[in-house]
Amino acid sequence: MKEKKDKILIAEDDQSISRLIAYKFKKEDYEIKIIEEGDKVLEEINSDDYDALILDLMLPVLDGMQILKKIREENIKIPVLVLSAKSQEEDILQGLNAGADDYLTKPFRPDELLLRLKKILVD
Amino acid sequence: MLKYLYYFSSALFLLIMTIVLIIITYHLLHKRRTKIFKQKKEEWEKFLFQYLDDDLKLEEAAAEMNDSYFYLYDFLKPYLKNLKGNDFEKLKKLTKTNKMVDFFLQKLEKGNREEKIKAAAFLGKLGEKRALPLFKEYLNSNDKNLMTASIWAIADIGEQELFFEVLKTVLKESSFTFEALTEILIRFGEESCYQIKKFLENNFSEENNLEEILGVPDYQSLSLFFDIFGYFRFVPGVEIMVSTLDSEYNEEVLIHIFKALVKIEYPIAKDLTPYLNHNSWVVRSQTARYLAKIKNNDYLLELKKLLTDEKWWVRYYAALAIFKLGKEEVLIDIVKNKRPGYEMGIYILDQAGDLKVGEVESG
Amino acid sequence: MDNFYYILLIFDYFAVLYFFLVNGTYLFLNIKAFFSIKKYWSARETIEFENMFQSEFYKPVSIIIPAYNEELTIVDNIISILSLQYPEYEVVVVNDGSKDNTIDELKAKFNLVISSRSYRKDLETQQVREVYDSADYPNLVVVDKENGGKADALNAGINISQFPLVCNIDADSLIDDHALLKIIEPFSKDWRVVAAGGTIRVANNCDIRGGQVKKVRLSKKSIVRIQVLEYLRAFLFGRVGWAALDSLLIISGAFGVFKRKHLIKAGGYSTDTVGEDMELVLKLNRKLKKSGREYRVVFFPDPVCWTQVPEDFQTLSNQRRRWQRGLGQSLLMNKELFFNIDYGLLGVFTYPFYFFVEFLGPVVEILGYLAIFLTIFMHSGVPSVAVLFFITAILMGILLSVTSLLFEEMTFHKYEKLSEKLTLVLYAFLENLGYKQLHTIWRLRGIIDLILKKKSWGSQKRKNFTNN
Repeated sequence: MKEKKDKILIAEDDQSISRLIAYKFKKEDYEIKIIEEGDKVLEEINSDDYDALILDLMLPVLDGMQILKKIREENIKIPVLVLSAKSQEEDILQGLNAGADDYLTKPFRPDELLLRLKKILVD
Repeated sequence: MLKYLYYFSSALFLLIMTIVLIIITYHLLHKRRTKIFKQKKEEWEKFLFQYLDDDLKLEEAAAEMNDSYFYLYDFLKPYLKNLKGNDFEKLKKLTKTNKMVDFFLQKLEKGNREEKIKAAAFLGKLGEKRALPLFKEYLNSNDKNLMTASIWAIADIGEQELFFEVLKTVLKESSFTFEALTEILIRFGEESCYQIKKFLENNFSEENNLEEILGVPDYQSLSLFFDIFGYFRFVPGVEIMVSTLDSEYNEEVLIHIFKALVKIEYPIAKDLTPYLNHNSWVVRSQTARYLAKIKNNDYLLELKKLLTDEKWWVRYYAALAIFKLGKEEVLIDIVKNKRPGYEMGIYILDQAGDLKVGEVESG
Repeated sequence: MDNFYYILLIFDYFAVLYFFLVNGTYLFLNIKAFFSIKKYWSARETIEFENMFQSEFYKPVSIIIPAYNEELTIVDNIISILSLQYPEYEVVVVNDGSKDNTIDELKAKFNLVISSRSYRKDLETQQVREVYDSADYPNLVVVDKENGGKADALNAGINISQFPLVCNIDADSLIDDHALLKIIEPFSKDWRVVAAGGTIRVANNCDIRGGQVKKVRLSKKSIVRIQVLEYLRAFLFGRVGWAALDSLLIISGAFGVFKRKHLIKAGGYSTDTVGEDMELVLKLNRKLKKSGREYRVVFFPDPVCWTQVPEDFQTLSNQRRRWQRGLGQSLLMNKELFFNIDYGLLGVFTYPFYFFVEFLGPVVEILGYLAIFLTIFMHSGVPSVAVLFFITAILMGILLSVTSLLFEEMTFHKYEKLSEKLTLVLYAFLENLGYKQLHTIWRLRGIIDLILKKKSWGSQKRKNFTNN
C-alpha cells in the first residue's frame, strides 16, 4: 500500500520563489500546487484536499490577510504557514492572531521553511 | 515654391513611414529578446535549483551560467532579494566563480549610466567590497540617480568606515526627506549607533561642533541621530538624549527624542511636566505617548488635563496613557459624567474592546 | 475682393503657424517625456518597492472614493481597492446622496457601524448625515452625505481623512496592484513633492479580473482605438513631458495623490466647476508659487489607472465638451497667472499656452480650416499655403501620433501583438483625417457652453458625477 503523499498548496505570485520552493518540496516527496492569485486560493482549498498552505500575504486580487480571515471564519482546518516580506513586529503579530500557524519573513532560508512546514504538518 | 512644398511633404511622409518601420523593428527585436530570455531562464533555473540543493557542483553550475550577464542579473534578482543564509552565500559564490562580479565591476567603472546603476545595485546587494572605492567616488557624482545608487550600495555593504561620508553626502542633498535619510542610514546596521554615540560624545556633549562638521543646522543632524537610536532601540543612546532634553531646545529635536524613547521604552529620571505642557502639540502628544509606553504613574493629573487638549493626537495619547496605567476608572468616570474629554474616553475604551459604547453611556 | 483674399491669406498663414506650434510643442514634449522615462527607469533599479513593507518610514495614505449611484459595482470596486499593496492606508468612501441603494449595499456587505471618529470640518461641504466604520475592515470608512457633486464629496472625504497623504480615485478606476507603492514613493524621498499623478490607460476590451487588468487588448471599435492613441499622446507622454518641464497643470481625478495640508490650505476642490481636478492643480500651483516655497508636481507613467472610455459618439462628445468647459472655468478661476512674471515659467509660458492653445485652440482651428477651404475655392489650382497647412495640420499630426507609438513601443509595450500596433499606426493616419476635426468641433461647443452659461455660473453646481 502506497502511503499518501502530503499535498501542499503554495500561494505566491513571485514565480521564481514559488518554483524554487516547489522544487525543494517535491524532492521531499510532497505533492505541490501553485496558485498566484488571492481569490483562487479559497476556491482551491475547498475543491481539493490539502495538508498545508504556504501563504504569501501580498497576493493580487485578494490579499493574504483577508484569505486567512476567511479560512478561519469558514472553519477550514488547514495548517497555514505565512511567508511574507512584511517583517515588522506588528505584521507578524497580526498574522499569527489572524490564525496563521507559523510566520516566516522574507528574505528566508528554504531549509528553514521546510522544517517549519514539517512541524505544522505533524501538529 | 509649390514644388518644394511637395518635396517636403514627401520627405515628411517618408519620415513617418521610417518611424513605423522602427516600431516594427523594435517589436520584432523585443519579441526575440523575450524568447531568448525565456529559454535561458528555463535552462538556468534547472541548474540553479540543482546547485542550491547540492545536486550540482559550484564549478559545473558556473560553467552553465556564465554568459548574458545582464539577463542573468534579471534572472537572479528575485533569488538575491528573497533568500538568505546558506542559499544566499551559494549565490555569492556562484557569481564570483562565473565571473559575473568581475563583469559588473567593470561595468561600474566603464559602463554607461544605466549599466553603472544596475551594477551598483547588484554589487551592493552582494556586499562586494571591491566596489567601495568607486562608490565613494560616485558619492560626488552630478548624476543624482548614480549617487543614490552608490549610497544604497555602500549602506547595503554596511561599510562602517564610510558612514559619515555617506551622512555628509545625504545631508548636502537638500531634497531628501527625513525618512529617506533615516532609511539609508539604518541600513548600516546597529553598529552605526555606536559610531554616532562616539561622534556625539566628541563633537556635541561638551562643545557643539555639529553644524560646523556636518554642514547643516544641528537640530537636523541630532533629530536624525536620535531617530536612528530609536529604530535600533539603542539603550546606550538614552543618556545623550536625556542630557539634551532641555525645554528650551529646538522642538524638532525634542519630538525625535520622545519618539525614540517610545521605541526604546526606557524609563528616564527627568521631570516631564514641561514637555507635557509644551507649546508644540507634537511634543505634548509624543510625551504622552511615551508615558503610555513606560506606564509611569507620576503624571496622572497632567494627563487628565490633556484629555481636553485642542489637538486630537494629544487627547488620544493622554487617554491611552491613562488606560495603560490601569486607570480606566478615571476614564469611565469622566465618560459617565460627560465631563470634558469624554469623547476620547469613549474612543479609547471602545478601541480596547473593554466596554461597548452603549454600556458605558448607560452606566 | 482682393483685400478680402489678402486678409484670408494672412489668416491662412496664421493658422499654419498655429498648427506648427501646437504639433511642434507636443512633439517636443513627447521626446522630452521619452528621455525622462528612461531616466526614471534607471532610477528604479535602486528602489525595491516591497522594502516599504519592511520599513517604518512609509507615509500612510487616505484613499478617497466619491460614489454616486454605484449600487451595482461599488462593493466589488471597494474590495479590489482594499487589496492594493501598501503598508498602511485607509479607504474613505463618500456616498454623495445617491438615489439608489449604494449606501445599503455598503452597509450590508461591509458590516458598517456608526463611527466614533471625530474630525474637523476643514472644508465646507454639504451636510454629512453619518460616518460609518466597517466592523470587518478596520481601514474602511464610509461617509454618507447630502448630494453636492463630486468636488463636494471629495472635500467631505478630505475632512474625514486622517493621514498626511490623500489619494483620489474614481469608483470605477482599476488600479494596478503596486500602483500605490509607485505613486507614493516620491513623497517618501523628496519633501518638495506636493502632488503626483499617474497615467490613465484605456481598459476597454482588456481582460479584467478582480479589479486588475490581466491582459491588455486593443478594442475592436474605432472610436476606442482613437482614444487609445489620444491617451498615449496626451495623457501619457504629454503629461510626463509637462512634468519634466515642471509645468504640469492637470492631474486626473481618476488617480492622483496630494499632500493633505496643501489641499486644505488651497481650500479643497472647487464646487464651481465641472473640471475640479484641473482647477485644483492650477490652484495648488498658484498658491505654492506665491508662497515662494519650493515644490514639485510629479507625474509617473508607471503607476497605472485603467478606465473604461466612451464607446459611442454621443457620450464621447459630451465628455469632451465638458472637459473643454471645465478647462475654461479652471483657467478663468486662476486668471491671476496670465502672463504674470511673479509666477515664473508657469505664468509666462505654461498658463498662456494652455489658454491660447488648449482652450482657445478650437476657435483658431475651425476658422483655419474654413479659411483654407475658402482659399482653395477661390484659387485656381492648389495654393502653396494649403500644402503648408496640410503639412503642419495633418502630416505633423500623424508624425506626432506615430512618434508616441514608437515611444510606447520602446518603453511600455503594453500592446503585445504586432497587429494591434499596426492597427494603431493606421489609426494615427485616420485620426488626423476626420476625428481630430470632429473633436475640435466638440471642444468649440464646449467653449460656447461656457460662454452661454457664464451668466448663471455661480448657481450652477454639478449634481451628478457624469460617468462615461
